[in-house]
Amino acid sequence: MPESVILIADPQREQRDRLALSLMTTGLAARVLPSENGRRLITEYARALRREDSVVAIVLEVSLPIVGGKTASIAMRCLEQAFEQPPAPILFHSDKPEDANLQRVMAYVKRSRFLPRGEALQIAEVVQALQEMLR
Amino acid sequence: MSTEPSPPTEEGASCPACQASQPPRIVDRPPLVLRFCGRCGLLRAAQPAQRQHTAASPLPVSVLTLRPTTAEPPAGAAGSSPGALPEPAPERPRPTPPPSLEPGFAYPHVLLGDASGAFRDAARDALLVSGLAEEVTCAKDGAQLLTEFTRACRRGTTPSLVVLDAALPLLDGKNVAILLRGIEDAFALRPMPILFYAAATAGPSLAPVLAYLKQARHLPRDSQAPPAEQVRQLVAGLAAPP
Repeated sequence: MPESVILIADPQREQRDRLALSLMTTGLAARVLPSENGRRLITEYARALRREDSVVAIVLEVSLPIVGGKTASIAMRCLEQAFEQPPAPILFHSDKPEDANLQRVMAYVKRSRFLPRGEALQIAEVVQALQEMLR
Repeated sequence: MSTEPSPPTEEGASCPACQASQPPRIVDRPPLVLRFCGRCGLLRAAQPAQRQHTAASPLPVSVLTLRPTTAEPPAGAAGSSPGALPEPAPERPRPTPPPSLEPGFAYPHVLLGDASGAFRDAARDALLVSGLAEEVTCAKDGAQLLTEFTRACRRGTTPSLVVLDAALPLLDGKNVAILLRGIEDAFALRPMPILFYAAATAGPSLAPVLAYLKQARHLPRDSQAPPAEQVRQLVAGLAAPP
């Protein structure tokens, strides 16, 4: 049985590392694939799909460098379509409020949720939101 | 009562514009057969019949006119029904055949992204007829282009050129091009050439993206011109060295 994988995309390395550690210690993921920008996220996701990894969720910051989180989420649905895979749940987070554009993107990509946060990501909230999405 | 289908013949052996009989084949490399009518200047591609065709599934024939678009429009062209061919003018200048008619295609597989269906269809035909492409896959928006590209990578038929507009629906062309590079990384592919066929006004905003992408260039597009003229300029721009 393939091990469960979660992709996380966040420009802040410390935040990525803390979240990755939490996701693995809580047993939500056996492996975490981190990315610092939207282009890298698409590369990692395409590699995971090629390896036939069991991707259980994607956690991404809305404001990613190079390619933003909203664009990256639509691109991930394109990859899933090309690999004939069901859509993986996407958890967006941002320190900015959810705007109309993000709502449109979330309606398009489906299986997604927005987690508002302060300056720093509250790891426990992410874990709880993911547990609810994967229930 | 069933009727026997008639034996396959090449549809439209005579020129559909001026009815001149049997325009000579200037490319005869099935499935690409290209006829050029010296009388009215119509360059057309017709696939020879390889299987039985019926009235319900006629033989696919695409027609590309390479007459200069500065010429007077033919009488009755405006408001004519789709598919109607313009009346031939008797003394039109003879068009120059496209530059790449020699055997051997420049791009085995072109992926074309554009929001306009009329442009996509005409550009696909023109790329095939001109010999610049052996296969053309079209996408109507950025998301479809990414999906088609990934599918092609999975099949091992990675496009050798991507032509796209900067202003694509759903995902804009600049983001799509960057994401294509990301997908190439996942498949360990070398960067393929990307041609932005976009309005000249898009140039300044494209410049940093072109520098980031490498193997990419911008061909300015006259967005106000009719699709046939935009296609002609695309083919000319592709055939010419950057």
